[in-house]
Amino acid sequence: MSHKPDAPNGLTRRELGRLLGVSAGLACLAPLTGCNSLWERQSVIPVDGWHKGVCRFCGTGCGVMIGVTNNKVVDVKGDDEAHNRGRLCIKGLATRDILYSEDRALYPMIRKDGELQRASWDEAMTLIAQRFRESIETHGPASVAFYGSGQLYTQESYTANKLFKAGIGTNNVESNARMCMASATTGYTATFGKDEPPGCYEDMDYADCFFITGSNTLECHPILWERVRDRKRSHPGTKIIVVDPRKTFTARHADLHLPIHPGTDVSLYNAMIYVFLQHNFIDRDMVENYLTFKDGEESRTFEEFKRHIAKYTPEAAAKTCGITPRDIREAAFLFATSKATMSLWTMGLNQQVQATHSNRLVSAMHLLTGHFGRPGATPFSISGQPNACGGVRDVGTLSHALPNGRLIANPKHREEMEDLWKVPRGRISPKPGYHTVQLFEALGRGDVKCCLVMCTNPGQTLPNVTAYRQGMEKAFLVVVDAFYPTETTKFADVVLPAALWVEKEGVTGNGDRRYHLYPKLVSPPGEVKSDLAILVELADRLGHGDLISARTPKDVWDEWRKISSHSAYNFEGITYERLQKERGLQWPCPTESHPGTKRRYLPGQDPMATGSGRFDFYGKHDRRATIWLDRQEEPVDPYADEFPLILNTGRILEHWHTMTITGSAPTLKGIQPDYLEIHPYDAYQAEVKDGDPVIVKSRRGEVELRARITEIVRPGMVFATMHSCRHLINQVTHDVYDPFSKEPAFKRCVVAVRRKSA
Amino acid sequence: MMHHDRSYGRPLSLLVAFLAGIWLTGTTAWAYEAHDAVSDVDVFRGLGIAASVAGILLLIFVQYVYRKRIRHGTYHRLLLVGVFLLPVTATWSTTTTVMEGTKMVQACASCHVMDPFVNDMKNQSSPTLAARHYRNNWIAKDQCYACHVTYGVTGTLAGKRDGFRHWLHYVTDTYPDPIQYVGSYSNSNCLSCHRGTNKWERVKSHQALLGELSADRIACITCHGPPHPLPDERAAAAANRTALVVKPRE
Amino acid sequence: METENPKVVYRTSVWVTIQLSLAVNCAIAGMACVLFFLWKGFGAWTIGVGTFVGMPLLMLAVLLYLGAVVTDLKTRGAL
Repeated sequence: MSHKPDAPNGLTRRELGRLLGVSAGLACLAPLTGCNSLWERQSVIPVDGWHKGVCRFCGTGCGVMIGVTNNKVVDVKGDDEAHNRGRLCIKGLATRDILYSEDRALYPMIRKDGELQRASWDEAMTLIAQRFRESIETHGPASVAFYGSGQLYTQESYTANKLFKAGIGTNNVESNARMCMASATTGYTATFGKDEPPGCYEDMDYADCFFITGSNTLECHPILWERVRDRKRSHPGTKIIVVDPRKTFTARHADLHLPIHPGTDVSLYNAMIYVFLQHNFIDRDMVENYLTFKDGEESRTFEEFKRHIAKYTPEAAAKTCGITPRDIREAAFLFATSKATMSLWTMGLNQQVQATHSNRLVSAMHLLTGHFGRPGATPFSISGQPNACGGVRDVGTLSHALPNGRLIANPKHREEMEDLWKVPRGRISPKPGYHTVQLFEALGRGDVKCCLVMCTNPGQTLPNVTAYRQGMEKAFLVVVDAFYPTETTKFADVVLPAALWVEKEGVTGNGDRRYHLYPKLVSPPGEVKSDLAILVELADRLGHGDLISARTPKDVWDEWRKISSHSAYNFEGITYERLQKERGLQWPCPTESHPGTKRRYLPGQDPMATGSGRFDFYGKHDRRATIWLDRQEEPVDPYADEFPLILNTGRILEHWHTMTITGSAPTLKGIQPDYLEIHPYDAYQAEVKDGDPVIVKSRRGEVELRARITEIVRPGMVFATMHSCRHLINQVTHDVYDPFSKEPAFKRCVVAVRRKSA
Repeated sequence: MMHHDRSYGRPLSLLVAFLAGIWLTGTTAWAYEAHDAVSDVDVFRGLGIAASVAGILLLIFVQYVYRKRIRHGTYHRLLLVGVFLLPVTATWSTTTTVMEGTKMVQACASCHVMDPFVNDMKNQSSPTLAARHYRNNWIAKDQCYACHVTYGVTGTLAGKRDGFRHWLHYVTDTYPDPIQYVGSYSNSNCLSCHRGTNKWERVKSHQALLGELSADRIACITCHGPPHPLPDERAAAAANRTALVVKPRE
Repeated sequence: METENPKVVYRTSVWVTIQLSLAVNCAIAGMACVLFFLWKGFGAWTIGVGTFVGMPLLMLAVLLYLGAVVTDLKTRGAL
């Protein structure tokens, strides 16, 4: 404080007053000036507004809050009010960046002189319409096909399904969900008569035993896994049983881990049922009043079922599965005697030759022991894509299916849909289309000339992919994707750029029958259009504009929910207004005042269950769920001297599917999935050291990977991820599929591993 | 003058010695987080009470009772004690009591707005981060403060500002109920303990995200949370104050 | 010890007297507030009165006191 010696008093007074006045003024005014940065804690990332949405990635369907500033997504956080309780996994966090990838497709491209060259929308759409028309006129409607995705919004899948089946008149409508959830569909349908899980995520808050089979939940569905862990944290007596050939991160948290040989599930579950029967862990009321037993087409009695199971002693099964009988008995004991047991499974069960068998046996274990329909007691299949349930299974975007669980093969179902879609009777072809593997075979044979591929990457994901790439090369292939290049655009004749995530609006259905709304928050880049707009334009150009009368996401949804009211899926009450407000709604939900249904087949809870007993399995004519007599079969691809190892494929936490999205996210792209897990013993035998380049070879092809020597895998088994496009593991995998679901068996094939010579 | 100086010099130096002694005792207790029955906070609080009582009495007597009867120099020296030394002692004791005392869980629990948080933390079967850190004894003491270090004496200015703002909102009843965390939580609170541990290092994602985590552009609790019951669960708990347990959502 | 010129008599200015009296009152009020907080322990109101009222008052008292002393010493030419 400076002072003037000649007037010390006055100055001091003035200065003091000024100081006090200024500080007091500042203190009082700070909150009023709008300088909130001084007054309140600020976010590191400034956000203009937060909007409710859903994560782009897996089938968990986590609620997210999306921060938008200047027409740009700048931040994403978990939604506290959604079922994920504010949590997101690392992939969910990365949605912040996915729209701004350098690999976005920005304008249409047409292949000219072997090169994809920029074209106008009109040029591209004219060419597509011309080629499709020519093909339909010359070779019939069955010469064109649609190959969609469990990532398209429901409105998009629905429109494509309607356009191709009721407009063009072909049932060649498939989806990548065939390679993902088809076995869960056939499993549920075989048991309950209706697809989709009977339980819900909330059951995880009540289960006392988790039977996790064929799922690396920790890495592949981390948010569901956290919910399982929460249950165990709050109730430490909760048991977690993990059935997985590998000692995954999930298995490391298990109370009991059963590392069975891939493809021996049927033996294990039958042996567990053996233990249930042996110790009478059976719900007699359920067996007498709510179950029937079947062997193929023939009915069986409970006594006959017992005789069938008698062959599957834990001792015999243990030998098949490569585990101990004691482990099987313990698993069965924990499963049957807990207060409420919840099973969780996904691709490990679905992607094998006996996938449908395995699926329905897990449901059978629940039904026989009565672990069904109570909070926490349910068989629950987890879903891999955000809209495999809503957009593919519910809509019926599969070659054998029609909306809401109807079947092409059923004339009554066809008529119902023809009436609902207001097309003449007989419009829908009675012949089921090609399922996924067949479809790409047909492309190779030339039976299918034109194929529209939307939002998926079959050039990488098909099993034994080399064989099917030729078909893609040969046919007129239109690839609609948000990213370019992909393994599929290599074979595209036309590439159309599609909007991604919140660049377009739509509804998806996640793993627990919950429909969510994805709002449109930002404009798409370049000349990008939404998949719905592309389909509508294609319909117009193919002369089916009248059929595709609903052209906005809301209009399509309204048409679709009204159609659903003519089925047991009934979600007519899930209106757009409710979707905008709520954190998703679970069907059945027949009226606008209905709160949605958590658990199905329960009179009083499920509006479709009109019976009066404990359960009403309304999907079946006799209102009883079916238990199937399933037998363990010999592996399709047996060991051979030259192929002594079994290859299993899967995922890691940080990447998703073929990495088209996660591969360019700044936070994830550094994480490499190009490795082969191999047991130290097998590595020793093959003279492979950690980090060595190795060649994995099967009867179909080979791929180079880096060896990662680990005891995560058992001796005799190797593991690779399905993510990388640099090294396509699907050049090695087997294209054999489950005869019921037609889902390929990615989880097992025999291979040889050798060190790559320098 | 000299006579009077001497007569006041002795007690003054005694007082200074006394205060210095207490201060030294205080620092010792501070340095070795004592397990004694009397905590350092109690010592400072006692000192503050003593200084305040002494100061108030001294000033009332000096200014309003004996003002006319004491000499000018004496008056000034007594003021030195009453308006300077004792207030400074009281200020310092109070600051330390506040800074150290608010670290204790009891301090947080004294405000009903914090009830759902503290109840949840002490709930043996709650899965929240706070509850798990508490029941597993991962943090030995001052469990609230351990993850919210901004408000201690070594905390940030922003932490003090937030404390003042929260207090203003509380006494004027202008806070949202249930309360919401605004802004970005500093991951350094998590990383200071977890980073460098085997468990942390072996997760590839952690390495990949380190830059984003350090800049607080993404939060540890997004994957590993929630740290406390969610707003609607807290609202439910507050509506039923007797219920300690936050039940799973129906 | 006696350094001041004993012949010069300085009258304490009115301003210094006011400052001192203000300081004394602030100190009494501040310490009362602080005492209330220290005595009652943590609570929304006690901590408000103690730290957000008492502490500024005490600081004001000390500042006023120091101001008065400086002014006084300057008047006496000691500074």
